[in-house]
Amino acid sequence: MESFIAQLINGLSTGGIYALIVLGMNLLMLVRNIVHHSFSHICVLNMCIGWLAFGYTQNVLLAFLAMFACGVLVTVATEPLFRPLSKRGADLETIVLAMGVGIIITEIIAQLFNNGQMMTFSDEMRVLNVGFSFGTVTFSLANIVALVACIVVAVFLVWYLFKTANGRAMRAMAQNLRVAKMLGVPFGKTGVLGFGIAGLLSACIGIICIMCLGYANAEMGDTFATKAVILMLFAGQGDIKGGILSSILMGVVEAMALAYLPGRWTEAIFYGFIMIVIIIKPNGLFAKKAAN
Amino acid sequence: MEQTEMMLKISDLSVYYGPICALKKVDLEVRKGEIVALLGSNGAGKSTLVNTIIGLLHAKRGKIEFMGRDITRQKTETTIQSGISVVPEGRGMLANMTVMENLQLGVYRHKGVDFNKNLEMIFEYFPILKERQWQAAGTLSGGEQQMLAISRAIVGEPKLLLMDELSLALSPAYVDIIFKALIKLRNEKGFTILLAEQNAKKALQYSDRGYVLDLGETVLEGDARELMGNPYVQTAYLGA
Ligand SMILES: Nc1ncnc2c1ncn2[C@@H]1O[C@H](COP(=O)(O)OP(=O)(O)OP(=O)(O)O)[C@@H](O)[C@H]1O
Ligand SMILES: [Mg+2]
Repeated sequence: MESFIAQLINGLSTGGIYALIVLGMNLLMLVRNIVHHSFSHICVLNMCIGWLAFGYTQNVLLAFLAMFACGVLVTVATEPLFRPLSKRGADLETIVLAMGVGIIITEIIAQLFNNGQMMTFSDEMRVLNVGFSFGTVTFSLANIVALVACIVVAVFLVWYLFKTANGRAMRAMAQNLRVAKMLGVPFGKTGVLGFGIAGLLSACIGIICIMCLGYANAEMGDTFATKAVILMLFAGQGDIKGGILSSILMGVVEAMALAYLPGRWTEAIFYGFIMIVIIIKPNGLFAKKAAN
Repeated sequence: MEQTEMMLKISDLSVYYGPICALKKVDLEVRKGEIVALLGSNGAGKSTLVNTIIGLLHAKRGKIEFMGRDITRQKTETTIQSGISVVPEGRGMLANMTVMENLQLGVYRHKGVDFNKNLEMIFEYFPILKERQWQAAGTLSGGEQQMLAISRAIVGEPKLLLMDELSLALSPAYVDIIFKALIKLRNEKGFTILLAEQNAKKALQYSDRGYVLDLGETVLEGDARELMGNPYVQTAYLGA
């Protein structure tokens, strides 16, 4: 029972990280109608920048600041790449473009950071990496903090998208770009704003990953990206709330499979589950009965 | 009419889709407080004109002035902000967003208007929208969607209202209700309206002046009553 609770918390915090990545990708999908496959790579790049900045300054706050700067700059810098494609309604090309950005970031990390070796984060960077017991259950406080951070960030973003004028404008763009323009939503500015917010989010994800995982390497971006793209499809593209729920569900399923199933069956279970859902619910697990 | 302020002045406007000429040297004027009908059959260029006014399409030649300012090459959002609203062809519902969200987006660019007060007025005109405000816009009936499209356009108190095919898919009785509401709004709020319509009979019945477009050219213009009596209009558009 104790280990079950510990696994559950583990799974929830992993799920929380997936949820934030999917949320960021959904945000970019809203404003530019793209699957920004390399969003996860940017999150990992942020971690690397944090590692580097801490190495130079030995100051956690400065390192985190550097991560925010990196996240926003790199994410916003990709916006002009996608804009012309998004304008002419390209589809496959945007995927190629996004994957290209991801590959370049992966190479940059492999070439320029720590000679391509895995980077481990010091305890100062991991802030709350202390054991924590609750009755007979022991787990890392970082996991709990990560979970809370995920909830706070996700609630904030959902609030932003559903309750503010700019958030509504972003959703309107996704729904019908022509009508959104007729209502005066600026295509250029709103897109840059969306990319900027996604950039801030990518830094938050980087920080949470540092706390939970404690390491970063070049391959991490691909691992996250594959899962995030699949989770996006699984929940239904652009479905914000569905994306969060499926991610958390998936984190828990993975953690349980890891703990209770023999051998390395985690991945097979992860993908098997998703394949079934995609076959029986082509519009995603949470697809509404088309309102159109 | 001579003394009233000019709202919209279009001169010598030509618009192309690639090599296809959709509007050819069009001149058109709308004065403050007028309701002007823009008539023409399928493919005449009505929607093209509306989209060019708000900058979704760009003119090859000619000039569009709104309240004396040249808006020909202005960005759509700037034009909307300066006081133009559109009822898009086919109603332009944001189908998965709620009725309320659609209305809120109506003031996205119209800063400084009293949204709540205007909302109250709209709910008075169209009580059904108040009942349906938390429902997805896509679940409304065709007529209700048209009411929402109009409400979304007027909630931002535009100076000029562009309406593309208001009567499409509406029963004649419904068209009358909506036009009467518009006339009342015009009288109370001083809106100016440019009305692109295939339904010439209804449009002329409720407007002050009209233009007839054919294959991208203005073939007739004048007082609504005169146009109604014009033999060409009668045979081509009124089915007399
Ligand atoms: N995107 C486009 N590319 C090429 N030609 C177009 C395009 N849009 C419109 N056209 C052409 O331009 C002409 C004018 O079209 P427009 O939509 O303005 O007509 P309309 O008067 O609004 O007609 P309707 O009453 O059917 O809505 C038509 O011949 C149409 O085929
Ligand atoms: Mg049309």
